[in-house]
Amino acid sequence: MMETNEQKPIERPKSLGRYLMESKRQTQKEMREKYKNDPVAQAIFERLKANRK
Amino acid sequence: MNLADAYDIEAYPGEYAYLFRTRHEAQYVVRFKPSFYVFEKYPLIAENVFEFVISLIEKPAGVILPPDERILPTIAVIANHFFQQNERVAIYVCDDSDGKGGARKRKFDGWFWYFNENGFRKHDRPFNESDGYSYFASIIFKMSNPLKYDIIKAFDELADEYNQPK
Repeated sequence: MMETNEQKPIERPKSLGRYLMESKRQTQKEMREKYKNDPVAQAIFERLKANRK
Repeated sequence: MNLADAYDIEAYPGEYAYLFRTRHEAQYVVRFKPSFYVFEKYPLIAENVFEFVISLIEKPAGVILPPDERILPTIAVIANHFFQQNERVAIYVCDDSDGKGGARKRKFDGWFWYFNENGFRKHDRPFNESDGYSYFASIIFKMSNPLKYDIIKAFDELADEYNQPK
């Protein structure tokens, strides 16, 4: 299994649907913050642009 | 759908994440976030469970992105790559808090029509909240997954447990 920083919730969520939804929103926010400013991600996006079909 | 129409993808090193860029200069990341805690009562399944998340990272300022028919085959290529490990399970959840969850689910179902025809199985369950909100959640896995019946049973049990009257 790949190493990750994912953390298990401390308590079992009362609502799994809401928990998953909030987790998804949080992940999307973290992804925008991370990959927008990440040099590795930006290098990949530039490469994809240069090689675009 | 033709997979040859897919945009080029590239995996982010060391993560379950794939990047692609559209002809409209939109930058997307598709990530499979390890979510073992969802099925914590089912250890054989748990370590292979991932939340499936798509995020628009950047687009040109002030531009409304038009529908892009090349995104669907791109997602298909990404999923084919990710699910090369047979035992993996992805969870996708649609938010209905703004009343558009049904539309999101239809779009998602459209995306996964391809997968149902190509050796994948999608299994849906609604999660209903006591305050009236509801969420559609789906699990996706390969039909060749040796734990497929256990996965469906575990997901149904989980939904039943959480949909009990509060």
